[in-house]
Amino acid sequence: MPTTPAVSPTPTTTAPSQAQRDVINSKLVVPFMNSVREVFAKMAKVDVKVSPPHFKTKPGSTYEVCGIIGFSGGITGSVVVSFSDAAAEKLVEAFAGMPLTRNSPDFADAVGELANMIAGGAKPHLGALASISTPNVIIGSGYTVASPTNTPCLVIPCSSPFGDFCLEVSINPRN
Amino acid sequence: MQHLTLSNVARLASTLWEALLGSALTLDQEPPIAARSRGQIAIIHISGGWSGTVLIDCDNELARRAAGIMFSSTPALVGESEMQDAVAEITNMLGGHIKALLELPCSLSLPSIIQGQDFTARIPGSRVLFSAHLRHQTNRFTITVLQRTSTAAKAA
Repeated sequence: MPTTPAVSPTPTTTAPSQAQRDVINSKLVVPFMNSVREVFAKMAKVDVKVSPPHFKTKPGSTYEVCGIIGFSGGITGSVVVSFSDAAAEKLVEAFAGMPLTRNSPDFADAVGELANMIAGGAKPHLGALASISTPNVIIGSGYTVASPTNTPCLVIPCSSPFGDFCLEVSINPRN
Repeated sequence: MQHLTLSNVARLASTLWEALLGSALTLDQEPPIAARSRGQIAIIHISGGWSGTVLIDCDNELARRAAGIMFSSTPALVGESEMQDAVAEITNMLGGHIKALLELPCSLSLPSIIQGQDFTARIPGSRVLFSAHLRHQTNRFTITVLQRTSTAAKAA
């Protein structure tokens, strides 16, 4: 049986330090920016515009529909694709080719698949061997998605004709 | 893989809980009867020789108490980010212990914490292996282990 490791409390501030800012560099962010554009262009015929990323400094509110993919191996972290209800329904319809209601399991599957494709499209360009997880799909209201506060989170705002959404990238590269 | 059982995971969780927080968890045979408002769920992924997800569902009172102990603070003064960090830390440790049970080359993702009152979580492409319903005094703590069934994510 494994021994219990000592607790090393994580810092509670959410503003990233310079060292943390250096961790998430263009090598880790650009692949996600490219992937989100490509996935929606190819799979949903939707033109997505990506705005300059910024660090998430407060837990803040997340949109109502989120697909979360974990990374492990050469890099660890997660990417959250977060949509408003309205944008999610329309983008999923464009992706699936049919309207899907928010409560349908197929709706969650489609959101998960979009997150999977975006993460999968970025993965080969991250400069490290990594595995991606199955997607988790969270649907609701008034909830937040957070990573440990010692991991910087970069928000990549995206806009589409169907509404805005964003990617939240929290990655710790391993040296 | 053969060691990945409900009883082993419950025992690991209880040992970890006792080491960190000073008192053991007890295993309930049945899930809680009464629905309660949601607190926090933490999700961590294991990839490699075995792929799956560990999901921890914990109410806010328990998260607050854990954060108070872990950060040497009064529970009433604990903030949301500290609660999330405490649950993330517990999830990370438990994920590491479960990974060790597998006896296969695997790696862990970072935990993600979802906090709120009104949400549902789905993990497409996975099946539930088991859920361990644990109790600490009056607080509930559920660990669910899911195994990946689809290869879509791997192929992406």
